[in-house]
Amino acid sequence: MKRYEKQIALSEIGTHGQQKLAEAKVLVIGAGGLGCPVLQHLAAAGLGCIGIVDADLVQESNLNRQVLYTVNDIGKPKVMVASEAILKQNPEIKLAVYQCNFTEENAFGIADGYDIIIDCTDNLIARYLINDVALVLKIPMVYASVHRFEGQLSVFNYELGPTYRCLFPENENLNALNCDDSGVLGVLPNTIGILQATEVLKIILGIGSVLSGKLLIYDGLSAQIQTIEIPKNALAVQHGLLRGIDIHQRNSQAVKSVSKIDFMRFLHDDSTIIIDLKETYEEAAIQAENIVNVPIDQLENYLEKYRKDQKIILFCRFGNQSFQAANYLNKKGYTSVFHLENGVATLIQK
Amino acid sequence: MQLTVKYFGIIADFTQKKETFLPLDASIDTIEKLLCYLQELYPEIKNVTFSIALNEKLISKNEALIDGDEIALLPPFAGG
Repeated sequence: MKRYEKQIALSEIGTHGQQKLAEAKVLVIGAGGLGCPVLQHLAAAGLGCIGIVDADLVQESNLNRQVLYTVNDIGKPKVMVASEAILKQNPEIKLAVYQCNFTEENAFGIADGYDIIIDCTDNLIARYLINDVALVLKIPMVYASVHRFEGQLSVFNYELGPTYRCLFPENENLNALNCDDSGVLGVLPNTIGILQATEVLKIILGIGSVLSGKLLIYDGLSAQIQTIEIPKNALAVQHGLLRGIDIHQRNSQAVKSVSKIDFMRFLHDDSTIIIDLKETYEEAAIQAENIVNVPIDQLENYLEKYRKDQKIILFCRFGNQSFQAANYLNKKGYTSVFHLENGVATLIQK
Repeated sequence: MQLTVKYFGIIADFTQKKETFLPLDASIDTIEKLLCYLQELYPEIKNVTFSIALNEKLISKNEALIDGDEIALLPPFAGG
């Protein structure tokens, strides 16, 4: 525990607090300007499990502010580079990596089970989605965003407090506002990301006063911080909750299956991974060039190198194992998983 | 008799300043009148969504203004 002795020495934390950190599960959405400092500092603080969601590859133009990444990482998936870097800094933590965007389809599959969602995204559509998902899951959303030399920070849905929609009720201009290409001072998202990480630690530890019901605005140019009170807007909260429930219902995925005919067709489709779940010692019931044999206990490991939207078809002898495995992968955030109903037995019967 | 108006984010990009002081008189004595005045001065902000804070508290409807009030125009930030 030498690693944490400086924070354990704080009477507000102690070994009890460190234990709380070790048991916490947080989801960081976005591994960019805000996500990098958040990930680095939560990992260093010894958080038990950190999920990272980001579909992007490292670009040269990220390097002025996203200091987790180096020149050698350009073109590599951010989630991969980030997870390697922070595991090097603290090998004691557990990571879950989602190389995809956070969408209505995968939101609940990814976020379910986490204690806190940390909004490090770069667009408003994702922010409203995170808000609505957090409401349904009854977990806080630690929000930050940046613009040029300014940053905003708040904690939403904390102990039934105000939400992102109480601050900014949704409106028709959403798409026009969605992309911010006006530039940002490299150091700025780091300043704000560190404040964001501080709020996360306070929530987990139950110390201090959490920035709920308040919007903190930091202006780097004038070195001024202003705090605005956000009253709770019951209608806005309800709007978010209802949308969240609707998204949840629409996407609580029934396991998708493929028919015999479609299965045969996909045997010739190189972009689809077809997985035979049989044990390696069992004889293959069907053989084709693009069928791989992955026993069920090795499935997650095998799929690690693929994106969450990779099309995958699972099959086994009678369709029961493949059903369970597809259900499991759906929950893990894979969005395009199918299984062969009734298994290869149906193929052989003709 | 004076009001302080503070601009943030993309709104400050349009106004090219972070704050301004306006005289409080019959032509600007409510939030609604203030917004009309500002939209005339800076037509770009008509196309921007923003929330409004009066004396560091978010408000959701028109309010009367009094001497010394501070109004902040807060657009959402998208960047991360």
